[in-house]
Amino acid sequence: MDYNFLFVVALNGLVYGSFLLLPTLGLSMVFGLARIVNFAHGQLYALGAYFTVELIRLLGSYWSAVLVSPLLMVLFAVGLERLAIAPIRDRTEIYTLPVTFGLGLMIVGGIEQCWGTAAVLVSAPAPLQGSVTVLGNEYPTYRLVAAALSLIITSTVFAVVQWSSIGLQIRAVADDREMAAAIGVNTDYLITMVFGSAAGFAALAGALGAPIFTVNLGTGSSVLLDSFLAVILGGLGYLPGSAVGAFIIALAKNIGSAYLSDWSIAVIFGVVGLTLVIRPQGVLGRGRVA
Amino acid sequence: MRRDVVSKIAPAPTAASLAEAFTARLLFLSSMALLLAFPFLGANEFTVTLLTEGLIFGIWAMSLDLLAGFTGLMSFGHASGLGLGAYTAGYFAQHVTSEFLIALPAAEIVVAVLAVLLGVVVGRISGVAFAIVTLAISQVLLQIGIAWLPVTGGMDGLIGVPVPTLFGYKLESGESFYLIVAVILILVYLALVRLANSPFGHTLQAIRLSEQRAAAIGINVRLHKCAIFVVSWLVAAIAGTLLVFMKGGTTPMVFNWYQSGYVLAVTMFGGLGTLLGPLVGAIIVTFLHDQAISLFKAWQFVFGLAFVLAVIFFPAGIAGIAIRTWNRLWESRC
Amino acid sequence: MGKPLLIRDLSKAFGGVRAVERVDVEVQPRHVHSLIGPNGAGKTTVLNCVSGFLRPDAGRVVLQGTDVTRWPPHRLVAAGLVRTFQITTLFGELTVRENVELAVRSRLGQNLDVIHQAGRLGQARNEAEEALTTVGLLDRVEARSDQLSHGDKRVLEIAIALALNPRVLLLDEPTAGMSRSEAERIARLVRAIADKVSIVLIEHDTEIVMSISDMITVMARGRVIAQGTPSEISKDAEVRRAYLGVVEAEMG
Repeated sequence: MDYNFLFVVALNGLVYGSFLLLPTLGLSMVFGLARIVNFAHGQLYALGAYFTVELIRLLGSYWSAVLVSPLLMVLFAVGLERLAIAPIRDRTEIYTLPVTFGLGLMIVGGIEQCWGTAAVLVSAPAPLQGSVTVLGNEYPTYRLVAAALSLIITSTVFAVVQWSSIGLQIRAVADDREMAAAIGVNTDYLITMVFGSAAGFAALAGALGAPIFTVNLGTGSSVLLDSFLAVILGGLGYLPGSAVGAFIIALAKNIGSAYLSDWSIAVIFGVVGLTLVIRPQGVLGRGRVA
Repeated sequence: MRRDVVSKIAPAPTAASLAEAFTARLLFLSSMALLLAFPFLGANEFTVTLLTEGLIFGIWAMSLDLLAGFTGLMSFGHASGLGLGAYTAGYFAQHVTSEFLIALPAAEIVVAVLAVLLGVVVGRISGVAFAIVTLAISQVLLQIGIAWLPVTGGMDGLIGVPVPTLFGYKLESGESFYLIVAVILILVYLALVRLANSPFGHTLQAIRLSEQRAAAIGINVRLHKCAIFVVSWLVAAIAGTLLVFMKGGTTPMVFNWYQSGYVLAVTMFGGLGTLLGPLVGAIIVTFLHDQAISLFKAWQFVFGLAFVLAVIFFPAGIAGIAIRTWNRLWESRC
Repeated sequence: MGKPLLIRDLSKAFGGVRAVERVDVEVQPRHVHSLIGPNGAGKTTVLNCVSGFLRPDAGRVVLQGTDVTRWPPHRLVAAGLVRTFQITTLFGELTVRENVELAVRSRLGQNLDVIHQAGRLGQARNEAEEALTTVGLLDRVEARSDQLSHGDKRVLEIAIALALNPRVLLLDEPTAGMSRSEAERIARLVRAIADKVSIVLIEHDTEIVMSISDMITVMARGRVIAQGTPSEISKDAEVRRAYLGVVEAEMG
């Protein structure tokens, strides 16, 4: 048993999990709030990375690109929500799936049109390019720093949702939209805002993760599927569950493909699919039933 | 109360007058004749091949319409039935016989078994859960396709699937294969129309409108959902069998979830619940795709945009527009 | 053959809330048995447990001698136990005729029939028209059901229930939201149906309850607090306190 190998694989899993957290939470929040399943969410992650590439060229510094990219994404996402999703909100909620799917297609097409089919190459900012020694293993510094940043941002999001007044409104609308509207919460504005923020966080994850994970045309799709799996495991709309789910999926993927190769992913999908059928509230039992 | 914009459009809309019914029937018969005669009307080989692909796509889209349009179960993994049919038929053709009338039933049996097993599970869920689980199923199949090297050929897939034979006669030419596809399409269409107008079809619509109400009038909702799930896979597998023979092989990418999204998009485009809509939509999109690919590098952008606009502004699809126009024409005459 | 419907020891809790606790109800043949009580007493929960839409935590439901406790709704319907809903749930896009024909075809076991044309099945058509005649809706037969007045919609629900040939009929607040005259029309209909069918009626309108019921079960906070004939109930002190007192005050 090569413990060093296992350790590095597990560490990779934890790092990926930290990044998967943000898009996963965004997906879960938007669903919990407005019953919208955003099939374009993975593409927003990818787009965040692509934006970063351009911004690095324009602004010269990596960190300013990382800051601006999510802001651009929020504007973009708010536009999408107002134009394409708000109009169909009074229909059966299942219609959001094809619409967001179509939006995702548009984004992928747009990406291909602007940046071609090549993978995005972003290098970590200079001061963080080296490696540190963790438990006797060399590990890239940037990965740890970026993962830590993601965790900090995630915790902030949790804190806001749990303790701020906006967070209270969000939880109220998620619980019972009509009731919340009846007591004066501006549900429309809230949904748009959360949708935009979720997109921003996804883009941020994409931007931070660009130097670590390859970003190409398939990234959006793969991140979306992973986020889906995480959200389902943890329970749709239940944020702590989604967070746990993100780490489970990230670790399962990394460890699984390292030791069980191609079959591992099939197994993961199978398990998650079964979870949705047998225990639709997620393994922790606190999610909303889809 | 939420509006469900899929209106009850039967594939054979009720005709108000004898003249209308007669015209509809005439139109239908002449379309069938045109379809069968197509290769002999002077079209070039490439167009015939493209139309063949369009018809296969049409069969696939109609099978999804059964689930999404009739029963209200929006599957995001409908590539499963197609791919499964393709792989089993292709494998059978490679190892046993490429006689079409044997390979097809063989593939159907395998698909049926799996569909029933999954249908029992899937019959318990609806809505978003159904969409995600069907997606998951297609991804599991995708991974199996990649991983199960000895049987599926891994990433390369099945290659060199032999030309199908019909009673020993090799269907080598584009025209002969086209005719088989066209005949099968017409048979499938007629069978599905029958199903749509039958009590079973109406029961499905009831389930779409309200599962709770349906259960309250004695409908075994789970059984019906399982049943239509199996039927939709069986029909999709027909398309898959035709596809693998047409292309001479298949790859795991047939299970790609974008493929599933694509067929759903086309089915909605055509008009959920109308059968003819998705069929025509599939043919049109096949030709448009071919044109657009040469014009736009990013066909996905155009298609995505068209799809989003269609869902928002024309939820009843092409068929919806066609039926409205037809009704208006006949109203003005009376 | 046993009593039409026996509910024994029925209990159901949601999280920590005991919605229904050890409820016993015995319905006699061809009786109108009303279930009354203030809001939140658990009446609809009892109905849901009996009709297969909720799983009771404990207790038994016996339909004509057969224990049907955890049967799914469609099986109960086939055995003759039919219910209506408090909130109108019709197939709104379908016409009145289609709504009822669906129920008839379901009863005739034609749900899996893929051969015939649904619209051409004569027996279903006739029986549907019969049910509609009984409730007095035949003149609206081709109307889209979501275009009906509220009162007519509730009547249609009853027609659909009748089309299923019930032995026991569970009516969940059939007169909800109706005018006085409409409510009385429903009351007369229910009384007429009771000639052949045993009925469990959840109702808030005390006048109607008193005038058409053979037996009344009073519930409050999930439990049965009284059971008896209308005259017995109206004299029961505890019932007056818990429930009728409120209504009396309202009626002046």
